[in-house]
Amino acid sequence: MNRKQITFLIMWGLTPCLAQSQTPVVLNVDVENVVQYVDDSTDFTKLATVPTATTGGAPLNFRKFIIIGDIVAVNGTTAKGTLVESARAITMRPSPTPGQAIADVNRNNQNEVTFEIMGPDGATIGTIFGSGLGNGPAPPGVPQAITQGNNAIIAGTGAFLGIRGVFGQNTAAAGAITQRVASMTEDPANRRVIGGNSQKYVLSILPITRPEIVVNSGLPAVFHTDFTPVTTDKPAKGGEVLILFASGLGATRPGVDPGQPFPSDKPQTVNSPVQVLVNGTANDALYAGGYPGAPDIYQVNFRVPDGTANTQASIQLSVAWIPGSAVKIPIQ
Amino acid sequence: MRFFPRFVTSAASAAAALTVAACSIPSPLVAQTVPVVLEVDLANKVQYHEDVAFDPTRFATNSGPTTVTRPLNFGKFVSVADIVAVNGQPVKGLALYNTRVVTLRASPVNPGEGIADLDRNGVIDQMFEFLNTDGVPIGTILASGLSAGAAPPGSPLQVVQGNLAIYGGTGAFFGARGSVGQGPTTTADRVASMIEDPGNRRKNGGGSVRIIITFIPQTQPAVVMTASGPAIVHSADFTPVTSAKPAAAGEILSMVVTGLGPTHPGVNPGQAFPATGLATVSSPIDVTVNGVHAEVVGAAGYPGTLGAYQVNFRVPPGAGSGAAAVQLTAAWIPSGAVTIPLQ
Repeated sequence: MNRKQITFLIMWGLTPCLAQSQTPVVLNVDVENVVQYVDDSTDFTKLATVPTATTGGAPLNFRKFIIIGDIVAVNGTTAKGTLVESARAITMRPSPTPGQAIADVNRNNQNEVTFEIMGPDGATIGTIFGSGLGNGPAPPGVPQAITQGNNAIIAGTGAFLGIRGVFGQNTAAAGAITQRVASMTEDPANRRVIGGNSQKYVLSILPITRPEIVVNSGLPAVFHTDFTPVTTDKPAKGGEVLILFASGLGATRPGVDPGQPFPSDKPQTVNSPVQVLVNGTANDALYAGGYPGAPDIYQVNFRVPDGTANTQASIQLSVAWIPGSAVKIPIQ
Repeated sequence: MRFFPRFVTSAASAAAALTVAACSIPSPLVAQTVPVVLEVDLANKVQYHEDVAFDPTRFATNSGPTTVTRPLNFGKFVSVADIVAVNGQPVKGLALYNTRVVTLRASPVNPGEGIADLDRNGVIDQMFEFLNTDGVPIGTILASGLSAGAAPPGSPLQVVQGNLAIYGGTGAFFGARGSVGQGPTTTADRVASMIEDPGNRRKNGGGSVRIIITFIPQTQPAVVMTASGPAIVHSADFTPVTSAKPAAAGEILSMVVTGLGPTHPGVNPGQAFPATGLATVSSPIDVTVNGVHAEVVGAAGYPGTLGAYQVNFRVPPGAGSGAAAVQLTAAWIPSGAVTIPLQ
């Protein structure tokens, strides 16, 4: 982008839009019962047959393995889901010992990782797909919490459709330890019974859409329950239920085909967890659903927290942990 | 193909305008980016299982159909299939899957199934390489993810299973993002051993399935707009189509568009189309007038420009009269509609 284009954009007040769209969202994903199943059997008929704990064989290098773990929390919020990693060990060292590959970097494997993230009710929110080089130092520019791994987030589905980013592990966090190493002959049905270890992943994602409160003629589309707008003449009150309209909240249940308007015959509830931040304090939305007849407009009902100061309050949406822009509304 | 001579515009200026529009603050008046949905029909789909993993000298040696003994979990296989149609239009191409079985169940029933919060069958990489019926490459879509189990939220309703994300593409699908799922299965995959010779795949037979690819393209075709309307002219004399001189059914029109992607022969990225020699658009081009399909007579890079193309099409009979909507697709990626007057 040249200087002339930048000047043009600033003139049109678009700088905040560019800045927001390029700000990564950080997801701290806690994973438990993590087990690495090593492809160490020469007899494929023995795979997944041993009901008790095994010990994975460890060739000097080049072993293949699968890691499975349970996602239990995202940014401190209880979640469900599964981590699956398929990898080939390629231990590389600038000063190798026997069996290690000589290289300019310290890395341990080439991997593909999926994080399928579900709500506590078991409904899938979205899946994040990554690929890269395991272990070794984090790449430049990542969140400080990432202490190892050089992995790119290459894509996503559901709430994370089209994302890009980076991820790694926080090995310094309390409870973050390496996974239990088993043989692929071990039955993975017993993973939770036999047990595994805990790991903490840090994902820094760039979404392609964000939840944005509709603004018309400079006024945010936030209404009282009688559908009169919240204005300085008729401000909101602490404890009052308000209605706002927004875009970019993503998939609904039961769902519509891409690009199709929401139907009027049955509710279309937003699939992802929706929170409304009032002056930075997050509360779950009372309701969030597709607005009938529109392809990408949603209605969100929320309660203004008691005790909200008499001021211009900041209102912001967060959907699947992805925040949108803040708007201001008057509070009495 | 004859190019009309008075075309003066810049694909770059059109792209800049789109960039600003996409970054505007959302409002009900701003159209969302609607993904493109491809219904891809596969035939002769065979899974080749690595059941002789430690005797690779036997791979691909058995000319007849084979059977396979699969491990309880953690097996590996490669699937190969022919792409035979996209959105009902015959095409050619290859679907190639590389799978590591990781059978996961919320409530394991069978021995060897892994315990998890969800049902999935494996880690899978998928490649879909699309060709025109004459064998000219269109583009390739690359995806990775988890096979089987429920479709991810927001998928087209006809997706019945699979959770894969598109992480990239080439050709007409350069930079694509999106998701891939499985639609209805006509015939189940044939399951074979890797000792079977894949040269006989079509002879030995396989399964048929529809794959649903939903993607957000990096670029979309667009009819170039001029001060007096869409850059669409009468092909006979290159005069603009106007209300004073409307288009007639059966006549050939020429329009200038952007975003049609690669040509053959190609040009290097950032290079202008050559002044000599026709750079034919590689992707299948479809033009509709008021929803009626028009015969596309030619589509090629406009000589001397960066990213501008000329498309010639015949106005179909039965398209009505008065203001008519003209829309085109390139590699099934639609443009917005423009309006021209019809006699």
